Amino acid sequence: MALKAPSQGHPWLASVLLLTGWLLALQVMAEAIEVRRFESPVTEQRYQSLTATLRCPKCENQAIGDSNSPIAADMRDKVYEQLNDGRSDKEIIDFMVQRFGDYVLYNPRLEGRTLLLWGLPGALVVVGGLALWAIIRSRRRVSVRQLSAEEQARLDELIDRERRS
Amino acid sequence: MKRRLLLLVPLVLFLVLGAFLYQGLSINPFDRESALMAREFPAFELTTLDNPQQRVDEGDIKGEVTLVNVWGSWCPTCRQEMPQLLDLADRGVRLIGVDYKETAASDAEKRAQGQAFLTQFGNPFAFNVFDPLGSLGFDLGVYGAPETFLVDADGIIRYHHTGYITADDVESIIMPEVEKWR
Repeated sequence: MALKAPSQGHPWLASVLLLTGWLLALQVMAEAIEVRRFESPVTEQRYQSLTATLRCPKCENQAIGDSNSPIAADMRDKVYEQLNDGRSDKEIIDFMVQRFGDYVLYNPRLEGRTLLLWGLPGALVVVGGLALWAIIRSRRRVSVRQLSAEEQARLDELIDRERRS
Repeated sequence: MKRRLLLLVPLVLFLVLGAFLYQGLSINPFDRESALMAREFPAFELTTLDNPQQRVDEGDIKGEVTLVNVWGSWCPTCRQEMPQLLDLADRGVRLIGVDYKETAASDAEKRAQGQAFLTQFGNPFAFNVFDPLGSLGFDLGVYGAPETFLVDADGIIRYHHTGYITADDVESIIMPEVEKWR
């Protein structure tokens, strides 16, 4: 008796479905991609890093480079426009902060009111290190402590009993 | 005894951190102060919605305490907000609209979209600034409609309301702010 593989329908149907799905996916991707021309690879690099560090004001937790929201698209256009105008990264970031506030910065600036934010992790490492050092030191002191005569006698007895058994 | 108390340190730290993060859950991330607070209304040069020949700029906003409302016919919340804006206009508050980024292809069609919206839902505005590309909206830091700015007589932004103004907001926030800056 010949063994027959379980029926899989028409093989061509599967290929057509697969192809359709793939084409649809391609179309969706094409819609999301904006074609931009850059004067130099350096400018393109700056564009990529700016759109990755500016946060979309509408979407809580996406960089403008990752977001499909209309305001993120407008902001990308502005970044591109200003890069071509020869503005510096700092000027572009200031421009955005002036309009949308510090919220758009994924890297908050180091200033008076962000000192706690930037300083706390370092301070915690220092405090944690000191605590660890103190604990290790006190433990070590316990371990070198001499046994009292009473404790020594009990230890000898225990060892003795162990040997005999 | 003292050493025993030290054992409580992690628990206390956990409770403090827990309380801190827990109250963070109920913070609305859109309730943040506008970057334009206490700054001058941004300079712009556009036309009115009704007349492509009539130019307007930031000087036309000044002179009186004014609510500048950013809206668009594509924005469903703006419809729901309209009764409250009409109510504010009835109370004698000066309102100026900014028709933000209509969706049609040509400017003429965009104007038609905006005008149809006002015909259908009412027009509480002294005039409407036509902002087809969203350039004024961008300078105002608008990231969605509706948004409303309270501008004092000198053209300084005094209050920024993100999102929909409810009937309660009119009583509890908008009117007191208007009175405060008059």
